[in-house]
Amino acid sequence: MSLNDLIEILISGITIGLVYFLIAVGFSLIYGVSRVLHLSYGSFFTWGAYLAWIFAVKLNFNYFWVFVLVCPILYIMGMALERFVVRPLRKRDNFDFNVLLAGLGVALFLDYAAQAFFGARTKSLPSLLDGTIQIHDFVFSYQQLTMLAAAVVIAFALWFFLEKTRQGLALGAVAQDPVGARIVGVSLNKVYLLTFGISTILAGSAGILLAPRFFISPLGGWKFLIKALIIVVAGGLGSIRGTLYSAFLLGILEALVGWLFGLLWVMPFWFLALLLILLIKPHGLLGSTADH
Amino acid sequence: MLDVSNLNTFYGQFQALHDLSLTVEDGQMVALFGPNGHGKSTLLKTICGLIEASSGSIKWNNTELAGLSSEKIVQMGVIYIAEDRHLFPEMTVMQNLKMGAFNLSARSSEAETLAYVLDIFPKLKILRNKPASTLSGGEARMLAIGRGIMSKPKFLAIDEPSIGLSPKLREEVFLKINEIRQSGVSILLVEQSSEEVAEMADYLYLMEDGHIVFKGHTNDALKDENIKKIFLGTG
Amino acid sequence: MKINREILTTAGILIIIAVTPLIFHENSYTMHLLIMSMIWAVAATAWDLLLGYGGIFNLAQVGFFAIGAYATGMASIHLGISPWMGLLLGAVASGLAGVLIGLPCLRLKGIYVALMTLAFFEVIGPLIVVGINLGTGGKAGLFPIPPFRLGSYVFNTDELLPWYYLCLILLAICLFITYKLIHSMLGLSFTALRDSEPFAQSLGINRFKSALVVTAIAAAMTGLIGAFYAHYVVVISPRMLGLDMFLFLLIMIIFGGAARFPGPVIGAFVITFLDDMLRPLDSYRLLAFGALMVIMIMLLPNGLMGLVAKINIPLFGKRDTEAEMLNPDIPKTY
Repeated sequence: MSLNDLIEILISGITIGLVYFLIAVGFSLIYGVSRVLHLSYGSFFTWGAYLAWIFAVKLNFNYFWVFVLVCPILYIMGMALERFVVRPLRKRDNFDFNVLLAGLGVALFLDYAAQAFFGARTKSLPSLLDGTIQIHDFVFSYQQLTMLAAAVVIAFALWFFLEKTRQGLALGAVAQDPVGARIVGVSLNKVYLLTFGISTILAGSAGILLAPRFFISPLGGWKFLIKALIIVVAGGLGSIRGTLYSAFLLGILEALVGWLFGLLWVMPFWFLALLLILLIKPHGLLGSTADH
Repeated sequence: MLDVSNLNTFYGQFQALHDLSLTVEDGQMVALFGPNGHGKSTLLKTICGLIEASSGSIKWNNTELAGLSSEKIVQMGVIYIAEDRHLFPEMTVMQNLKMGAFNLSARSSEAETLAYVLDIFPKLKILRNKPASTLSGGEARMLAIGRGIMSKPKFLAIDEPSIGLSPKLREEVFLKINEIRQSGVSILLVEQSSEEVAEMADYLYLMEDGHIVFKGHTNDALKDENIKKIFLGTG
Repeated sequence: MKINREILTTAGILIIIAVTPLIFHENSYTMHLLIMSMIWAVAATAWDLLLGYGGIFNLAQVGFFAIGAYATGMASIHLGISPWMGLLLGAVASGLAGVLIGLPCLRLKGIYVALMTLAFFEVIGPLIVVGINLGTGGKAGLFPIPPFRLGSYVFNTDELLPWYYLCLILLAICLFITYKLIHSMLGLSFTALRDSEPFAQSLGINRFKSALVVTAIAAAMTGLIGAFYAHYVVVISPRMLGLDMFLFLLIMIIFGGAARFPGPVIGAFVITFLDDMLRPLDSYRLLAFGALMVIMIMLLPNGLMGLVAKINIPLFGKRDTEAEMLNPDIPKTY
C-alpha cells in the first residue's frame, strides 16, 4: 500500500463516515429524546432513495430540487409514524416492547410497499455531479466531493438547530430531563413529532446521498440501520460527539477493509471493532456511565 | 388568585391528596408545611399539570387548570420550581435560563427578565458558560429559581427550596424569594418546617397524609404556642 | 403439578397435534406445513420466554436457530457424527453462543441488549459466507445433511410421519421446559424484574445471573429445533438469516400473545397456514403481514390468548392467579 493509497482510503473513509454519522445521529436522537428503539428507521433510508429516484429519474429534477421536494415528504412520514403508531402505544404498559415490535411491523410494511411499487429489482440513481478533478496526484470524482459537501452542510445545519435554536434546545431538554422540559412549558408530544420528522429527514437524505454509490433495493435499508446501531453503541448511546468519532473511525475501517479484503468483510470487522471498543469502554467511546 | 377546591389525586391505587382545598390571593405568599411524603409536592405538581388530578378544581383567575396540559399552564404564568431542580445537566447556565423563557408569553421580554435574574443572582453571570451538571448544590438551586423566573411567573409554586443548603445559603435563598414576591408574584412555598418561612408568609397551611389539618393567618398561628410547636418543630 | 389453564391449553394443543395425522397423513403437503408449524412453535416460544416474560430484548434468536442448524449440519457432513448427537450439539452450541453474547450485554440496559444482539444477528450471515473454507458451504449452503436413523430405518422424505412425531416430542419437551421455567422461582423473579427492578433487587434477585440462564436455555431450545430443521430440510443456507423468519417469528408471538404461554404455539400454527394461503399475493403478502403486525399491537396487544382470557371461557376454569401474576396487564400499584 502506497502513501497515495492510504490517503485515498482515508478520504473515502471520512466521506462515507460522515454520511454514516447522519444516519446514526438521527437514530440516536430518536432514542435519546423519545426512548424509542426505532427499528423501521432503515426503511426511511430506503424510501428517501426511492422518492429521490421518482423525482430525479422519472421526473428529471436536478438534485437541488430533489432535496427540496423529498425532505418535506420525509418529515411528514416521520411525524405520521410518531402520531399514529408511537403515541398511542406510549399510553400503555410495556411501551418498550410494543414499540419495538410495532417498528418491525412498520418496517416490513414500508419495505414491501416499496417492493410492490418499485419492484424487487435494484434501481440506481445518477451521480450527484459528473466528472472528476485532479489535485496533485489525486483524482477525485465530483460525486464524492459533492457527497462530502452535502453531508457537511446537513451536519452543520443539524448542529446549528440543536445548539442555537430554541426548538433545537427543547429537543436536548427533553432528552436530558423530560420533567424539567415540562416544567419550562415544553410540550413533549410536539418535541417527539419534531424529532421523528427531523430524524426521518436525516435517514432519507443519507439514502439519497448514498444511492448513486450503492443500489437501491426494497430491503436495502436494513444494512444501514445495523450500521447505525453499531456506530451509536460504539460511540456511546446519547453522545452526539461520540457518534461522530465512531462514525469516522468505522468509515475509515470500512474503506480500509474494503481495499484490503473486499466489502464482504466489512460487517465482521465492524462487529469485531464494536466488541473491542465495548471491551475497553463498556459504554462506548463517549457514553456516560450513568446510562447503565 | 389561585383557588384549589376539593382536589383528589391518585398514584395508581394510592390516594395522595384527599379532598384538598387551598387559596392563594394575588400577591400573597402562602406557606405549606408538613412532613415528607405527605403529599405537598404532589399538590404543587397537580397544580402545575405535571400530575393529573382525579377530581376537584384548580382555578387560576377563574380559568380551570385541572385537565390542561402543563405547557398551557406554564403559558398562563403558573410556574413550578422543583425540589429536585430538574435542570438540564448538559446545557450551560445560560442555555438553562434561555429554556426557562421557552413559553410564548415569556419570550417577548426575555432580555429584560434575564437582566433581572442576573441582577438578583449575580453568581449566575459568572457561571454562565458552565454546564449545569458542574454546579454546586447552592448554585443549582439559584439556577432553578432563576429559570423559574425566566418563565415570567405570576404564580410560583416552590418546592422545598432550602433542602440540602447550609444555613447561610438558606437565608440567602429565602431573601431572594421574598424579593421576588415583592415584585408582585404570588407564591405557594412548601417546606417541611421553617421559622423563617413562617414569618415571611401571609398565610399558613399544615398538611398530613394528604389532608389539610390546619390553616390560618401567620400572626394568629404564631401566637399559639401549640400550633407553633407542631408547625416548626420548635418551641 | 397444579392443573391450570396453561396446562389444559397446552395439553389440548399437543393432543390435537398428535391425532391430526389420522386425518391428514396422506396429504404430505399439509403434513409438511404442520411440521414447519411445530418448528416455528418451538422457536417462537423460546423467543417469547426472553421477550415477553423476561423483558430481554434479544433479537438474535434466528441467529441461534442458524447456529444450531449449522453445528449439526457441519458436524454430520464433515465429521460424520450421528444426527441424534447433532441435535444435542446444536443445542449446546447455541446455548454457548447465548452465553457468549449475553456476557457482555446483559449487564447493560435493555436497549444495549437489543442493539448488540441485532448487530450480532446481522453479522452471522456474512460470517457464514466468508467462512467457506471452514466448511460452512458459503453462500450456496450446506448439502446434503444426512437424515436420522433408528435401527435400520432411515428417515426419508416420502414418509413424513416419523419426522412429525419426532418433532412433536421435541415440541413437548421444549414446552415443558418453558412452562417449568416460567413458573419456577427463576420465572417469577424475572417477571418481578421486568415489572419493577428495585422491587426485585430488594428480594435479592440477581438480574444478570437469571438473565444469562434464561438466555442460554432459550438459545439452546432454539438451537435444538434449528438442528432438527437442518436434518429435515436437508439443505441450509445463509438465506435463512434473512428478515422473513425473523419477522414471522415475531408475528407469531404477537398473534398468539406475548407472555401468554402457550400463545406463541397457536400463533405459529395460524401464521404458518395463513402465510401459505396468502402465497398467491406474492410480495403483497409480506406487506399485509407488516400491516397485520402493527394492527395487532395497536388493537390486540395480548394476542389471541389475551382475547381468550378476556372472554374467560368456563371450560378453561377460573382465572389462575399465578398465571395472572405473570401477565403484564395487571394494573400496577404504587
